[in-house]
Amino acid sequence: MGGKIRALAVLALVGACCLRAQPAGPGELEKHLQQAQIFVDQEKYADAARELRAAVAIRKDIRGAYYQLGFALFQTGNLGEAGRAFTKELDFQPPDAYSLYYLGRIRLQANQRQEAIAFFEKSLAAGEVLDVRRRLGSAYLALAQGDRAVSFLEESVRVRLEDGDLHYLLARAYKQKGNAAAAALEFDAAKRWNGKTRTEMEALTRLNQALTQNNQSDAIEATRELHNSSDPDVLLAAATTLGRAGLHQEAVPFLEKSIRLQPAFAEAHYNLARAFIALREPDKAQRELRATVELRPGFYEAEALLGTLLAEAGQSEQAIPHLRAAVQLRADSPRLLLLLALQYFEQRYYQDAIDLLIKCMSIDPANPEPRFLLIQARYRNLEYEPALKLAQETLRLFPGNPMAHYHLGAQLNNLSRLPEAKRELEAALTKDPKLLEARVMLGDVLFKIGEPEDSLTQFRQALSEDPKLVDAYAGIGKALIQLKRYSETAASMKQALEIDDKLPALHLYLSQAYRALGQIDDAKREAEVFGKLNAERAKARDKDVERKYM
Amino acid sequence: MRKAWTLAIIVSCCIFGQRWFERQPVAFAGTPVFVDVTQKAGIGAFRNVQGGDPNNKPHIIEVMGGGAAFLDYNNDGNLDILLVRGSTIDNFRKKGGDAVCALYRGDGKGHFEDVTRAAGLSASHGWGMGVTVADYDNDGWQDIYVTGYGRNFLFHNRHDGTFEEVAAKAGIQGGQWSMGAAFADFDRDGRLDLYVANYLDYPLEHLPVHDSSCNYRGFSVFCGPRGIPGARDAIYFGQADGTFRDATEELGIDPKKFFGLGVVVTDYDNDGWPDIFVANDLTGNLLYHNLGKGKFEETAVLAGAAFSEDGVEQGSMGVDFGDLDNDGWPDLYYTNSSFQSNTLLLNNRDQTFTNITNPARHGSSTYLHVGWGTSFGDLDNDGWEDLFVVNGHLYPEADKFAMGLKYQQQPLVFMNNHDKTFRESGAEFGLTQRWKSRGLAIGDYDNDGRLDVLINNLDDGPVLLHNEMPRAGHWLLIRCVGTKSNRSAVGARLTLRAGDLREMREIKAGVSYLSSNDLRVHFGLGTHPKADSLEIQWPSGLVQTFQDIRADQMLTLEEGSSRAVVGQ
Repeated sequence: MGGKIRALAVLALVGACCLRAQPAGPGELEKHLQQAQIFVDQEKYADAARELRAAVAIRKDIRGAYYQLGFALFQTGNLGEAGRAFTKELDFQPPDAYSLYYLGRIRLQANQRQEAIAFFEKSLAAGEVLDVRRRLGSAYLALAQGDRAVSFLEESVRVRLEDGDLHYLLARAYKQKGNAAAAALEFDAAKRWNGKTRTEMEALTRLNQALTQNNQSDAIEATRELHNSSDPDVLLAAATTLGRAGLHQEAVPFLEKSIRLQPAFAEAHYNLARAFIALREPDKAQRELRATVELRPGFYEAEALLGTLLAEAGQSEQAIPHLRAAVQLRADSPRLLLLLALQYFEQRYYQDAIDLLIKCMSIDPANPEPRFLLIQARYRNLEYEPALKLAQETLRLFPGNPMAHYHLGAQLNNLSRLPEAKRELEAALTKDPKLLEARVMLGDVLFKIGEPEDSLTQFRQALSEDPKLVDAYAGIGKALIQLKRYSETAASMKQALEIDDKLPALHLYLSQAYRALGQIDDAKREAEVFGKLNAERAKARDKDVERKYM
Repeated sequence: MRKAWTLAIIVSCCIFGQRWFERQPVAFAGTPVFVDVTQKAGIGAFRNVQGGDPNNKPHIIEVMGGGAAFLDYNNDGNLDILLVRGSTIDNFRKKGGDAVCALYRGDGKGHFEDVTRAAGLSASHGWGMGVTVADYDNDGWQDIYVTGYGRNFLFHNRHDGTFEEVAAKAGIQGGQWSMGAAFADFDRDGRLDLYVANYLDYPLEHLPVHDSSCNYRGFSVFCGPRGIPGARDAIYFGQADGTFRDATEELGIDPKKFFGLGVVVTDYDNDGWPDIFVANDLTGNLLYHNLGKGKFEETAVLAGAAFSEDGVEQGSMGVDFGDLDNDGWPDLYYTNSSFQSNTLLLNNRDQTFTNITNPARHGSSTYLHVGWGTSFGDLDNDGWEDLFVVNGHLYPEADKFAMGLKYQQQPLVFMNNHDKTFRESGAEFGLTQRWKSRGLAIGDYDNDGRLDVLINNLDDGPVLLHNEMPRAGHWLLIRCVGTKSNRSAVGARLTLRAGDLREMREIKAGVSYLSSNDLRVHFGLGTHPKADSLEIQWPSGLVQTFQDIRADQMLTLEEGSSRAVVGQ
């Protein structure tokens, strides 16, 4: 089916050629292409190949024509010429995912698995097509690379639950990895799916086709029919089909029924969670994901998703075990590694964050984000010299990135190398004048250099960008107190306290300003508030020590 | 070569007139200004033992001491030296510790003789921390108060070169872990009182159990002070019978039991009553404003002296008041831990301070140091007070940290630029050696008019630095003797005028970190060959003024007497 869907694109090619009114007989070219399409539809691939050869002889730069030719030749078993056609198609940019896919299959047929995998991987990078994940999973399985095989096959199964053969392949991959429990589940699923009634399987196929072709009445009919099923697998398959078509609300009753029939059905809980996520109901999604991982420990996607949801909800500590489980199952996703590292960082497991970020950097060297977080993790872990070195290296690698300047400035500031810090922060602001963290830090650096007036300018500019930036207010308070501009201090701090009355320093500066202005009672009151808030801050700070994730 | 250099100075002197002395950048071309004379002086054998293994400090008590003092215990006009030592956990448990201090008698010519045993001090065992010196019983002879872990020692001077330990009898033995101490006459009754800063509630029989919280940068380090309960400071009032009355509770001193370290007493608001500043470790500092007659109000937060400029507690250690801008109002300096610059507070003359650490150029230069002892003093006799600071990290593991720190650290010397800024000149003065310093005292041990420096180093020998500042200005060294006021004249305020110079000093018994300076008052006069006037405000309230005092001499001034005695 994938081949046919792709083949329809020939019509578009025809249109494009006609519009361009090529001098080499557009009418004739159009005729060949249209005829080729007809032959493809009739599965007369040799005839289609002939027409397509004629078409490319007239014009060599028709994007898609070589793919079509390759496809027709592939179907006829002429793999050599098909390969050349697919390769020719790759002259066009961006590379065609389908051509790469078939080149992979040609290599597979030649028993060249490594080369096949390379093409499949490239195809996947260019866009997900056909059963490329299954092909990759299968190829990795044959190469005894269980981890990678499982990864691709799990995703394939999720898309085509009703495919018993896929379950079987996945079961073999699990077995190869030594995960006997998961293998048993998949062998069982393969057996179940291969033994389904023909009626229900046909209904699933009809639903799939109706949704693909946007045939609403057929889709409704198939949906109704499938909802009457008492087979949890079928209900789940129907739900995932609906979900793929974006019909998440419609998928929910299928999944709920599936779970009612088989409460320990981890896959159904997982898909229900995904439906809830699509419906923006994260609490319900969390509940289902928790059920999933409880029912099936080692469920990578469920652990990753639950960890991500918890992290997004600001529940770092709770997110960590799930993200850890996911990363332990599969450590090839830089996004997931970075997310876990961020949770470690936020929960003060600095060494754990550092270890993970180093790995993340090696997997995704072009991304500066892991570096930025690693600089901060090293700093928080009191590794000031390595943090500085990394910041310097990061700026060398990402010279145009204002955050790279900012992070270097921050580390230089920490080591009291103030003129250098000033230079870097100014560079960051030249590249991005709205980088407020850089502006506030520049204010701080100028204050430490002994330039309170200039520091005040920076803090005020930051405040003009974000009037609720209490850090900038705190800087203003500090600078104004040093400049002995007490009335201004009092006015600014009163404004700041309307935004955040829990920041101790604001009360301190206000207290000092009142004291200097002779308002002793007000000064004492603010000093008392400062004392209380500061004690709370100190208590929190005392808990804020580095930890090691046990 | 040397002649050419001198010629250059003379030329520049002529061009810039009198100001040359104040502004000339010092270029000593490899000749040290502060010369290490420790061995020659005869004090090199002393060891400030603090724990069993200098490279392994499992307990915080092993890194905190000890103090140093310049004193004149035998009234011969020559400074003597007292150095405090600690002990080891084993020694303390088995035999009550080690001799808490060593006393060296000075001959005024740069040599010191160990008289600890002869003075009867060697039998006093404990774990010594700090020292302050004053004549607490007004008998004309300086007494010594040594603070320590578990108990303090008051060595009463018997006037014959020996001492008697009378702390318990006097009521100031304490019993906690005491650190800095300062004598002063808080109620101005003519008798010295005492403030003692106490640190932690730290029973040696129940040492903190090492757990994951006693880690720093992945290294197992000693526990504390964070997480260990603090100990309450104490204030004592001297009584007519030579004993002291504990007024801590009555005056509500240190109710939150902050981690007390350095103490200094000065009348910071010029109201005639001595105020107390306590530098606390990782807790807010305390400033007790004397309301008169020995009643206090704690005002550190309102005065701007409790926290960093960001409103955060610092690891404050050593402290001193001095008049950095010669305006007659005491300014405050205290040392802090690393990654917190030392703090310099300019007196606003309204009972508050402005933090000028950064504009005065103390920010970056002190940022990576753990500061301990510090003292104001006019090191080049130009008429402006400079600052000496000694440093050293807490953790022997510091060298392994990738934090830009060292366990042993250089001292810093801040020379006054006369415009409320300083220039750090330690290396320029030849002070390139690194030590694990704690106590620091200054005084002119050879009476040559230049302030010398005594440093007590952790687990190591002391350092005595002889000040050989070239082109140092004229000077005066004044010994004050109270009659109605306390005999040591602690709290006396001296104001000197010489040409355009106006300098103020106050006599303090207990400054720096756990240390005590020469009780004589030192003035630099720059190019002025005489002081036009010297006014003394005695703690009793009596004000005396002396006119036209020739520079470069030592004088003794007795309260109520119009006669200045030359010499001791």
